[in-house]
Amino acid sequence: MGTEKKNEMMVSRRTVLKVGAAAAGTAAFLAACGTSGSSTSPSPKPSQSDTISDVVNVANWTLYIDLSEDELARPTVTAFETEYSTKVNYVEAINDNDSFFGTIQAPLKAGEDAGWDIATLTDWMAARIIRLGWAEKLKTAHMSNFTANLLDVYKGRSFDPSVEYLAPWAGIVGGIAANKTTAGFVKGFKDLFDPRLKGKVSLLTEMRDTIGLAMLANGDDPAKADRASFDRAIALIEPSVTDGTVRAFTGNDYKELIVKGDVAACVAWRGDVVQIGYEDANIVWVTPTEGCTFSSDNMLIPLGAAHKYTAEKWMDWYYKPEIAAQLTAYVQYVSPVKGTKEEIAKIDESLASDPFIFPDAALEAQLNVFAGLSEEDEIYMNDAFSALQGN
Amino acid sequence: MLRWLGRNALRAYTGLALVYLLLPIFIVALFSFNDPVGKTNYTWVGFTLDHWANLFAIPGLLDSVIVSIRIAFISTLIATTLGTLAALALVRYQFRGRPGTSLFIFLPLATPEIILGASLLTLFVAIGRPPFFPLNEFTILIAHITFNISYVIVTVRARLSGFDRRLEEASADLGADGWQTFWRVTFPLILPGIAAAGLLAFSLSIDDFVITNFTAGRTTTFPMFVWGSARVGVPPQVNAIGTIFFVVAVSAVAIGSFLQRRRA
Amino acid sequence: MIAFLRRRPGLLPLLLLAPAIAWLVAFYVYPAIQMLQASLWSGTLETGFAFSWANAATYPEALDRYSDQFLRSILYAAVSTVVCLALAFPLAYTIAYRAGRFRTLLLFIVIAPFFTSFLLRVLAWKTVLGDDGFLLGPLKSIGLLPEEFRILATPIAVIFGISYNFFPFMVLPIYVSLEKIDRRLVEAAKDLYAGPARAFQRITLPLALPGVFAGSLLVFIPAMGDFVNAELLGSVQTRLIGNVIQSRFLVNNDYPTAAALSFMLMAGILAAVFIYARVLGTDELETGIG
Repeated sequence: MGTEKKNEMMVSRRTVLKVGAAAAGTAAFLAACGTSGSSTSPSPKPSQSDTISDVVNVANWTLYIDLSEDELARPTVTAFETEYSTKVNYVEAINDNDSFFGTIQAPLKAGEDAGWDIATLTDWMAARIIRLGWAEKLKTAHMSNFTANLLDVYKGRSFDPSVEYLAPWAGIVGGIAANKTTAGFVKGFKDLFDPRLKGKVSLLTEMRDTIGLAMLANGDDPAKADRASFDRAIALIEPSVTDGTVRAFTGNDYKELIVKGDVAACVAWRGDVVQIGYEDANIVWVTPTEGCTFSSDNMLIPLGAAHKYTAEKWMDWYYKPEIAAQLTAYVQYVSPVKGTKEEIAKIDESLASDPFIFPDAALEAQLNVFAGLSEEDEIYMNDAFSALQGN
Repeated sequence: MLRWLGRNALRAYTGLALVYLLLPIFIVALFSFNDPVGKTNYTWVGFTLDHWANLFAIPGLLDSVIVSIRIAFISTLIATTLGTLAALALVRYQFRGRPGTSLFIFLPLATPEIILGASLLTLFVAIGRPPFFPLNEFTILIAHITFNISYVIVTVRARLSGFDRRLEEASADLGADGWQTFWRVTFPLILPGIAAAGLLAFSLSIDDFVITNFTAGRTTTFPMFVWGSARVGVPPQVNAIGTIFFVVAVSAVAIGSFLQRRRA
Repeated sequence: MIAFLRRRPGLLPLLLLAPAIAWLVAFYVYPAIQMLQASLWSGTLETGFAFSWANAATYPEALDRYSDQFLRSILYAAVSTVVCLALAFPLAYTIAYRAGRFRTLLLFIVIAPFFTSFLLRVLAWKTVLGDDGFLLGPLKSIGLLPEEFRILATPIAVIFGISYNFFPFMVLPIYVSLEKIDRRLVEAAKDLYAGPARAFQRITLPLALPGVFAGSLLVFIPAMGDFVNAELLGSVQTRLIGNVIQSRFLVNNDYPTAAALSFMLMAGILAAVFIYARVLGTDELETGIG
């Protein structure tokens, strides 16, 4: 096992250098990381709790991290490990918010460590966890990049008004993915129910994306979502679920279905579709004519996490513009970090002007955030949406 | 004529049935040698040994295999011990409540895995403190021992029922005490049955997904790793591990039956 | 200790049984009681749960809401059992009577699937049966099948998956009962009834019934609780009660409903087993006399 680990590290270090060479701006920095890790000790250790732990357990979604060319290493993660002489147990454990919540709620409720130092969750789920008192307050004093570089739009959000709990990971634009054949006629949400697509469509289990797009298609505003507009959205989708047009409700796993050809068009997240495109150029993004949904995923530290300090350092790491640029250039989601645009231009000029990474006014007008829900409304909607999926 | 047709139809059918049984195993092995473009390993692209050479390059895979083997080993050891003792009692002794006990032992086998898993989850949540909670490798172990005990009892008992009691009586006549008789006569005779039960328990444990899914918490066993990676595309290395498991199991069974045949 | 047991031999079997029974009481019976209690909870995870007998209403509510999934589970499990039986009997018959020196090898191939991971087997079928996969892809390109034809995400795929995964459970018990039959009986029957078909009907088939009975239970029970095949090979229209229990427990954290559904499923299975035993048991008796 010892040799195994060593090999793994050697591979990653090589890939870090390779990526570094590709991205001229970060090359010097990464090369420096490559040598600094073993020789210099990390930042001073004021107290027992403020020390870097041997390991930090990070839960994230799939397709949410930069990969090396051979897809075996995660350059920005490896660079963090080298910088802080720690090991990141980075697990793509989150397929959708609800099922992940299902795995952590029991320990958190019991006041136990849920096993994760970082969980990356969508706004409404992050809000629920804060409401339940299950998130650690961040000690921003040693998070200088975060305090300096968090974009202003993420400050003062209703569920975390003074930025005490959440560090946004990425902004997510929800819309449609199609293959080149179906992209010809799939222009909006309603086109997913075209008879030509019978049995070839998947929707997201993420209620706010699927229902949000349905509301837009109905001419309703997701920002003002209420039971009436929700019921109209369900009524739009339900016949196509019953007649088998909709094949599945998925989390990130629509990737597998659409690449394999079992699904021909689906509700999808924009960054995923770009990444799927690296693998299969046949898959393309479609901006629905009626507009897109917008939300963000946020890093938070679950209450009682064993390695809080290292987790804070992890959050802070992704607020270094050059790291954020490296991540964003790969995953292509909206970056919440100031200065990313300038850094990303050094990697790929065209990305700096991509509105889906740095939304311009024209795209911003198309993005729709789902309303915050009262607990009763949330239960009502979750229940009906769950029934729609056969649960 | 009719008979000839009947016989050959049966033969052809048997051939088809065997293909049906073996096809998925073949596919699993085949795709461990595939060289897919991205993460999605579905269509045959080209032959490569890369994934076998870098068997554990996928982060977390090796750990999950180690966890699975460890749990399978310990749960087999405990379940086989408890189960064998119980099987001895059920076959060798007449006592009040024996039919009821047999029925009780059959119950876990008649319970769908999902219910076993769900009820254990309810128990662990209700206890709500270590070592049962938060869920971990220990809770998986408890779950595996629970479903394995009944399998072991049933298997060992089936082997024991053909046991010739006169051999023990002969041993006693020759002056051996109960303890000596057990270790010198009884145990060697029932050992193949115990070994079969142990093998069954091990293979059930190492392959269990449903019950583990309920009792695992953050611990990742090999089947849980497969389930997780199925969302984004199962890497060829996972197929390779599956193939290794298959070859090892086949070898174990082959060696076992060879030894038994030699003894007989 | 040994001397003590020699004085009271009646204690020995109890002592041997005690550890296993204690284990099953602690981790099988007790959790079941816990679950019974959880099915009578009300509330949500956020507000906390409270126990009351009045919450027994959860049972009829859950049964009503999930009647489709319940019926589907029964239907799929029954069809899978029949499919397995139809496929397994000829195979078991061949292995028992026609295989000669290949018997061990054939038996081994029957259990071979158990030596690879269950999930990998299901995923392998998903690959094979894909809309544009090995099987359908070529048939579609030569025009034998229409472009929109599919197997995955249909009831056929789920029943196929269940049948495949539990097939060996049907073959083995039937093989064991066939193998036990004294062939002289069949020979005598052939003389008596004049013809192999009648002999098969009057002797072989009835004597194989215990194996059929055991095999059917071994397929039907796990099929009733399946959710993996339905999840990986099925669609929204093929959700089974297992999928509902799994997601109510692990996704929605709706413990009361999930626990109530589990209890009803268990009761349903026990009832089915009991009825099946009664019906088949009396049948067997009659053929035995006749």
